[in-house]
Amino acid sequence: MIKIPQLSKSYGEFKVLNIQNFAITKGLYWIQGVNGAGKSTFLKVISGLISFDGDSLIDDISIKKSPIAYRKKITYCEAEPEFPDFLTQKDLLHFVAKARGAEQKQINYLQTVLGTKAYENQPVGSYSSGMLKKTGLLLAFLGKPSIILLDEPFTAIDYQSVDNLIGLVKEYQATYNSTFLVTSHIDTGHYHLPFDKVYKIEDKKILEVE
Amino acid sequence: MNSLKVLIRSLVRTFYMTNIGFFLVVLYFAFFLMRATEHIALATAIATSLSLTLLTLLLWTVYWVKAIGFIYKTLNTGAYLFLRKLALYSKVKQFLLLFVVLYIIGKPAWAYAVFISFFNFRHETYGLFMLMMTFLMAANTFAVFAIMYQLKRPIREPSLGLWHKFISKKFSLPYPLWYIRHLFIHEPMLAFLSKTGSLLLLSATFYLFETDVYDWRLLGVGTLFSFTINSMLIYNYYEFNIKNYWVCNLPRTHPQITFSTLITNAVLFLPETLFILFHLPQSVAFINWGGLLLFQTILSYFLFSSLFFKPIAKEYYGKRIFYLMVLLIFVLMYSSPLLIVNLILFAFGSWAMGNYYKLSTNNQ
Repeated sequence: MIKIPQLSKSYGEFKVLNIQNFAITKGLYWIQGVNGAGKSTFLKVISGLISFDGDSLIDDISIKKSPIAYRKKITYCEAEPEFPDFLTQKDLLHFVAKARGAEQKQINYLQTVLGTKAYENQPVGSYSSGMLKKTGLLLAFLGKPSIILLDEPFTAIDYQSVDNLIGLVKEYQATYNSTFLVTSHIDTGHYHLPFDKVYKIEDKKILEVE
Repeated sequence: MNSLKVLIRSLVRTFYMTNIGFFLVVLYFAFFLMRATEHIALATAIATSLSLTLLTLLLWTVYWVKAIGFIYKTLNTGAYLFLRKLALYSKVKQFLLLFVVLYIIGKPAWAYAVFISFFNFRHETYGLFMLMMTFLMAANTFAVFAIMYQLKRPIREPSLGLWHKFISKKFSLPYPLWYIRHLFIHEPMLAFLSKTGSLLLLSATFYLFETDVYDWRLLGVGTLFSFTINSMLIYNYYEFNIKNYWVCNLPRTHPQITFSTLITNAVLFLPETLFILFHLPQSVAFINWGGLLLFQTILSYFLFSSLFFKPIAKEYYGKRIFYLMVLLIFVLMYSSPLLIVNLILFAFGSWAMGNYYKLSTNNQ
């Protein structure tokens, strides 16, 4: 599924990640780490958003050799999503749905599950942090992504939405066989997510937690 | 709303709003400084001379580079990251969407080209007309491919270049000069273009002043427009403070903040101040002479403080500049003494900054 033969990422002269021979198959994974460990950087790097040294492959498609084919297979929701104040959720959905090949039926369904339909015509500038987060999640679930990266997905949203999100994760695993990488620095045990494995980013490396 | 409208609102509108200062200056040149006969003479000269046509194309190249740079920067900015998904559209669709976006951004150049082409036809210089149109088409197309290439690649954080390392190592500066150092390291192009444009405008205004019986108000309006060219520097200074050294986190008093901000602004506008100092005609009364010298520094302090008092996103900043310009032109046209105008601007700026500082410290 995801294979990383070698990956290193530095900000200026400060090295954040140095990963060797990391591979995961289809499933649901939790990535732990303290603040500043490099969880978000790891997701940004493997989603193809920011540059790094080395390579990452999804189903043998290299991000360096075929960046577009690679990016079509993966989606990413940031910990604190941001969008231009003047656009509405509908604008964002339309733009991203076209890129992801998502149909209106799927958009409606996701809006209902995440409870975002009510404010789809409001400009993003008027959103609360929870509404922004749900909009970010909504965009990440569009189409039929093989891999969905969720950075701190449970922060800022209400309990009902957390339950709905967990249901959506399970549904995508069953329907689209999607793989999830979820980062969190807090214990997600009470969310009842059946993680296949738990990893921890520590000292620039990614290690399996027993 | 279709994808084109999202792109137009996110890139085109933001481009024009962000660069409203530049466009106001162009309008000032076109409708205040130049007369109709001078426009016709200039267009005829461009339409009949290869070297002047090439010079015009060079200026348009700078405009296109600025536009491409702006879009690059926008695509790497948090709120606009979703636009990078455009890379997942088909190549034909990407090309068409971006072509329209860049065509609208390049419209001022296209409009002027149409104006010049009228004189090309009048003087039968069809070769120069073709050269101009081919250039604009090529620039538009090249810009589209440059952005498509950028969309395909991941975001690269700017690395520390030799210039950065040299400056950081050699100069340990007092706080008021930190932003100046930051500007030279991170935004040398912004600094260079702002200062060059602003000084050119000042020299044109002072030159015009000598050619007829104008009064000091022309110099005041010229200085104001020259300030507008620098307006992005003020926003950049504000962002620098917010992102790096949030003013409130520094254990400084209100007078200390005022003093250091004034020093930074004075250094920022030193080239313009020196230019005014050495070129001011003696016929201008002292109260306006002194006022003109301090005008840009005080105005920048006022604008900077207003950003802290009422923060505003970059895309709406142009609107604030526009209203401020209109108000000040109105004030200048009524011959209000500049020194008094400066005092009022300073008082408001100081109040706004003090109010912000008080509110922020109360919240902590």
